[in-house]
Amino acid sequence: MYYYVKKYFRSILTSIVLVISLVMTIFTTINVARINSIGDSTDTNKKIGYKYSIDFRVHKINMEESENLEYEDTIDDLNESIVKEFSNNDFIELLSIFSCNTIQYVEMNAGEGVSKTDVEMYIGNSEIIELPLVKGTIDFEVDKLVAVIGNDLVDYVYEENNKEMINLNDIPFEVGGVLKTTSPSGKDNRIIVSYENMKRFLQDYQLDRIVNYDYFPEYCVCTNDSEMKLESDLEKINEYLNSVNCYFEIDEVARMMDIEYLYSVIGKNVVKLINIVCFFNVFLVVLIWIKHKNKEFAIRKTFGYSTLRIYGQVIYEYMKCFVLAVILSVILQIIYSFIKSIPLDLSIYVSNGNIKTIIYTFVILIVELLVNVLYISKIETINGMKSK
Amino acid sequence: MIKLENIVKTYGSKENRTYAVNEVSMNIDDGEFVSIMGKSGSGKSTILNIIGCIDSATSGTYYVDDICVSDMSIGKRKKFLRENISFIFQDFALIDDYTVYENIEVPLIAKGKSRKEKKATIKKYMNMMGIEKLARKYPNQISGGEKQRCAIARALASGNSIILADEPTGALDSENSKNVIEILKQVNKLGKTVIVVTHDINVANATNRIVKLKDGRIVE
Repeated sequence: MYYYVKKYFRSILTSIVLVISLVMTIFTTINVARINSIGDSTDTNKKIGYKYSIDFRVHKINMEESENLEYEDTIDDLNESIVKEFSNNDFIELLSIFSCNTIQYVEMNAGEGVSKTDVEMYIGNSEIIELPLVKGTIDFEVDKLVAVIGNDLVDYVYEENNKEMINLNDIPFEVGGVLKTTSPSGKDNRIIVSYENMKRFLQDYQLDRIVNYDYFPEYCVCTNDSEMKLESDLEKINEYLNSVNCYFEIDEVARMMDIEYLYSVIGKNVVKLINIVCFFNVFLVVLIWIKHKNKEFAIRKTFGYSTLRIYGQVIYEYMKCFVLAVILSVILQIIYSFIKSIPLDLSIYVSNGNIKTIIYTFVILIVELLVNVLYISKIETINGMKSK
Repeated sequence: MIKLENIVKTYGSKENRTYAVNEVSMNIDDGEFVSIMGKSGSGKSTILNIIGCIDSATSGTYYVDDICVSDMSIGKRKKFLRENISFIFQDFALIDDYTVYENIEVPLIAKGKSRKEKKATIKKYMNMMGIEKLARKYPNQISGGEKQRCAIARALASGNSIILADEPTGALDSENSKNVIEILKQVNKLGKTVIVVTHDINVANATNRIVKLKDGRIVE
């Protein structure tokens, strides 16, 4: 065992120190890259090493109010608000982009019959669950084609495979429940389906408008639990809101405490500082590693080795340590990610900016080696032979 | 034939110039077994280093087989060293991180020998030195005598015709010293030119010729 370890490492102690230094450097670089991928946005308040969850809401602002808002004021007051005109289809697409988890139900008014494309649609929140039913339940599975229908639509129900079904835009839905008649002018032609189903349902559907925002001011509450996606989602939302002609605002429902944010900023910079120290450390370790081999180089020179050949030998031995360090760093990062619940998403580390960070790291580590390797040319054979 | 003409080696500036070797001229024939004797600081190791191309003379010329080595460029001198000269040192100069086998392999790698050639050569000289069982041992796992035999095997494995030994028995007990002297005699019988630097009269007496140095000059 000793023979093989020694054969791989040659000078075991210095090589192990070198491998540890390289692992520290590469591991911190990986995490600097990961932190960079989170971005420097102060709004997102992400804490290093922790999976975070930020809820944010998209509000449609009352159009009358919005007309009185100056654009600049809107930016200042509403932070991430914008928008000019509103298109239902776009909004539905936007909701899809959000991967919205919280909205579970879509409520709409059927016009003449349930197949008609001209419907009024309500996107509601959990208050829908409180609606009274004459039969069934509203608490159905979100990804199952089940609808709760208003009393007026009972006539359209038919039976198939011992189940009560209703065709919505020619798509068969199981009737999960029937709403209690509300009042003579009540909306007894309402249909409630899960949001996920609604997205399918609306694929070929043209909706004219979304109504009742006074009643349901929160059009959607989105939850994002992916560090990576949040930034891009917010970007897409902003792009979208910029492109449509309607006023919106996005605000974060859940914000971290200031002190936590402070910790996160300190944490980011500490990791970067450690990374720089690690680079410096590698430089010194490589220098010591090469000095440790002083006598070996001198001996080789007495047998007529060229300096170039000795360079090659040092680079080869360094690369062995380097490859081992890269493998160990990746394993360490996987363990760390597992412990800290960090998503193991390769795209986090190979995004455009991070590729550069990783390439720079490798380049710096190689340059550090080469600068130290130049020291070899200064070794005088006679003095080298005297060194221990 | 090795021919040294007016070799001078000085250290320091003009005011504090020290002569390590002063106007040394000598000839050593092919296949000769020569010892260079002298006290510490007499310049014997410096001469050996100049012959071995790991040091250069301040002035004077040095020929090997009528080729002027002292005029060679660094690159050519390295090639010359690789192809003609091998060293044996007092402290054995084995690489601690390499096994006995790998230490003997070092000059063969420099010469670009094939794996098969290397294996055959190393085996031959390990057998000759009686260290074949130590192939996988590291220098810190073997005795001084074994280390020196390993160093001699390495010098011989290179196949070079000139063997330079700098105090080869300096770090050995009397028993091992005798063995090393015998080995060097055998090496000389193989047709190699052996130049030994020593202050041990027993070693010097084993050689064919003794060159005595004092204060950088040949006195005998």
